[in-house]
Amino acid sequence: MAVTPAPLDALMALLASTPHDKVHFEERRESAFTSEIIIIKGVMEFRRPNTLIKETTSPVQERFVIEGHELLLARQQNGKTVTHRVQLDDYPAMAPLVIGVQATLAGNRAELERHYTVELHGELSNWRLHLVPREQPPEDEWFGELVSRVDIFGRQGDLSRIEITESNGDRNVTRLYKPPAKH
Amino acid sequence: MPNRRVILLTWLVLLAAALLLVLSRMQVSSDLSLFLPQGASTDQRILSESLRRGVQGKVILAAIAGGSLEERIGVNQSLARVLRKSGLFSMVNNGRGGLPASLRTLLDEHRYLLSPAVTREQFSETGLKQALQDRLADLASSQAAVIKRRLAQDPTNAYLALLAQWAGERRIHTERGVYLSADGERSLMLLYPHASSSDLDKQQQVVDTMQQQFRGLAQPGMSLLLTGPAAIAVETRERIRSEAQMLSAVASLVAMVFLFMAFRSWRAVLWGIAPLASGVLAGMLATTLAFTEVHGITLAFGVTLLGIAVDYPMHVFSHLAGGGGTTLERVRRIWPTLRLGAVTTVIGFSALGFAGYGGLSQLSVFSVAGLAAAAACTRWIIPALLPADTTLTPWLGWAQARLQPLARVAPRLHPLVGLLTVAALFVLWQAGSQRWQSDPAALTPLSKEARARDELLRADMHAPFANELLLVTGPNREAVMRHAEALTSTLQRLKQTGLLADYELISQFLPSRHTQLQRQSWIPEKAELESRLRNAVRGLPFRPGLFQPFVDQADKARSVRPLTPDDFTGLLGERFNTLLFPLEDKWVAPVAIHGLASIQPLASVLGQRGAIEVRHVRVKQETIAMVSAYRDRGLQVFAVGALCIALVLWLGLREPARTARVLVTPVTVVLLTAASMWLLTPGGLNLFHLVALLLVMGLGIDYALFFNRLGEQPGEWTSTFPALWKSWLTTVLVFGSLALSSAPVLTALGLTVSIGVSLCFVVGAILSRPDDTRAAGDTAFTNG
Repeated sequence: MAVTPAPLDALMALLASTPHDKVHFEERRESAFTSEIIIIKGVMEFRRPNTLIKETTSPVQERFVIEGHELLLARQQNGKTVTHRVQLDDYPAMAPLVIGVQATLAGNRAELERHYTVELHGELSNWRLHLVPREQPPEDEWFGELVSRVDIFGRQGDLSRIEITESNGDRNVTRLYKPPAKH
Repeated sequence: MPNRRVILLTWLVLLAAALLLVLSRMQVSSDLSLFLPQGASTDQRILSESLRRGVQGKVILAAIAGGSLEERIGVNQSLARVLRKSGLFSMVNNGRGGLPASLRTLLDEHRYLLSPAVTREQFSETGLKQALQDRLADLASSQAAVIKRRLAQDPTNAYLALLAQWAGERRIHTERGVYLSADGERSLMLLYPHASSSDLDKQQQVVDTMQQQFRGLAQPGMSLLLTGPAAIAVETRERIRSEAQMLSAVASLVAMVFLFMAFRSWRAVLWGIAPLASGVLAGMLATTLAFTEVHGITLAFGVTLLGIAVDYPMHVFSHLAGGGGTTLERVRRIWPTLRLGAVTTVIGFSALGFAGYGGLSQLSVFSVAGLAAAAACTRWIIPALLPADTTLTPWLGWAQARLQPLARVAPRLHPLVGLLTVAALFVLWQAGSQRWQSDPAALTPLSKEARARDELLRADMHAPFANELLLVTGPNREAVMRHAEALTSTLQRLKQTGLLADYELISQFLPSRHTQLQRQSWIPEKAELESRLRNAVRGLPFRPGLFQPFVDQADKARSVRPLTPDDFTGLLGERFNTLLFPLEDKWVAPVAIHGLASIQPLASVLGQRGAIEVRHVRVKQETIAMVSAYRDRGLQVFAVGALCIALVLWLGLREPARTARVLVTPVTVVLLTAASMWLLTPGGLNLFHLVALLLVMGLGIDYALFFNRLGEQPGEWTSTFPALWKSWLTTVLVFGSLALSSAPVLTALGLTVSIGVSLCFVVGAILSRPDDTRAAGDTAFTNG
């Protein structure tokens, strides 16, 4: 059941004050388009105040940077680096796809609530943020609605899992883990 | 008088009929191109045609200024939402929304004909496999969610490539999805109304709705700036209408008050306005009958030109002040001089009709008909309206008492006039041709403010007018489109190497029919495509049957008709209309070039190749040349007009010596006025100054003729002289108020005529021969 805003503020404060180390991620994409689950691996890093860097190493080579409302994508395609720079404001439908994790890591409640209705479940020791994108103005029908919900799981100030359910039912589950210690 | 009633009745019936016809038939146009120069050379004609097409569109550029950045963005979003719901627009683009849905569908259906990404290889088994592998990689990328939207129907990304090409690289800065100017001072919006561009009432409604909705949303201190051809036309019409109303109200009031003060008779006031009213009505009627549409400038400019018709009753009334004879006799006595003056002015204005420009022809018809009607009304209607023994008591005796001695000694200043004329000639010679206005915009009724706003918003929207053009001309549309297509690769290369900043041409949006048919021929038959796709998808983890939409849509595209510019309406239709058009027996595609460092790298594409020619045009230089040609034509017209005036005068006076003496005044006055205008107008002179000078020339002759009457009989000093200074004062008051107008054309007219008529009075007084005992009118046309 949803809790009153006070614990949400506490969580946000905790997230804002916790140093977010570089983490590894493994994302499993289940899609109606493919008969196999696509597994993506890479490293994710958050730099305050609001830069999220996702570096994919497999199966594609890609660097995806979300800096504020600017998206920068550099992909290796056929031996060449192809870059795209996109203003999130130009494609508001994309915002719910990328803002959730970034704003959660930043502990930015206002930004979260600008894009989603936010529900916090569980305890600080083991929480789940349930994010449902706010309705887009009708003029943004270019992409239509991309995401139907985002669930972010965590313990204290650390994120452990991200579940994105796209509006066509496709699910992406990302597990985050500390890099295995090297000796 | 038995036929008095008949005359009066006839006149009233004529007026009523004219009014009825004008009200039912007259269509006021505001096509700004009517007064634009047409150009002499082919390049100039093409340039002016694209200018003309540019000003006929109806796209609206809107900017919200003032307030905080937050407010500018917020109000923009709310306004866009409200306007989208208003149903008045086919497109409201404030940063998102992009292309209208109907256009997206059209492009999507034709993507395999239009997209630059389409190749023959793409439909081969290997080509398809490559595309599918790329899409699989996309599904593993951060773009996955977005790419899925069109994956099943467009695995080769034909549509995305098409959109990317259409969008070009001219990106307007956005914040929170709202277009912003580079400095963030204005939030922007691009709108396309449904209403036709010629329906100014509907356009007015569009503009009013925008302003009204904006006022409901905006904070104090914020403003909504609008520009674009239709918005400007509405604003101009509104301004011309309100200014013309205000100015004609002021002018009428001034004339009426003055007539009352001068003659202390309400009847004089009423009948004094009659010739002007008849003239305006006749002018409107003649223009309505001669042209399908009457331009707003013709009306505003023409009505004010007719302001000098108040002179006619002024002369008549002054001669009713004293002396003997019936009203009719006294009107007849003054008529030959009045008629000669009117005829010369009419002749002068008819010369405008031969200038060969739409706007000036209208002005010519309007003023000729108007002045003729005003003069006729003065001669036949006024005497019929006034009792046979009308005597008007002149007022303002004190002014007469002071002015008369001054006028009597004025001839002593003869040498001064000579000196000033020499100075004026020097000024004109010094100025050379540099002080002529070279900006064609000055020939439009746009205010300076509207022009500055237009430039500002165009810069904000990254849609400036090009400084340079390549003109591709050929015998037909397809040939021109194919050649323009061939040019694109050169232009793209130059852009990549930084030798030019940007370019715009039809081929960026629409390939030639030839290219479209070629691409279409690459799409395999359905069964063939299905089998190739089956092989291509083998070994890839796509769900079976996933790409059926692609197979179906590609098959459908095999039978679509290639698109032509005619298939596009709305904003794009408007844009294409300026990027490709027929002119005379050729088709032209202007290619806009921005920031070209040197023409050298383009040299290889210039010149004639078979029936196709590519020429390079520097817009500014050509425009200046065009306006110069326009002004030269204006000067010719002015010269012809002046010559005609002199000829008529000679016919009227029958004596070369007397004609020369009468002509000295107008010639001197025109020279002095031209020199003063030269010194007073910072932007230089334009065509409308020349038209005004023509009027001044006509006035100069009137004044010279009447001043020369002063010597005829002793009574003339108490009848003709008061008419002269009263006419002068009325004209200065009426035209002086015009000089306050915000429309450059009206300011030019007002200032030139006020200065000119003052010089007419002063120079007329100085150069007159009061001692000449022969009456000017005696030998002029026999009365009848």
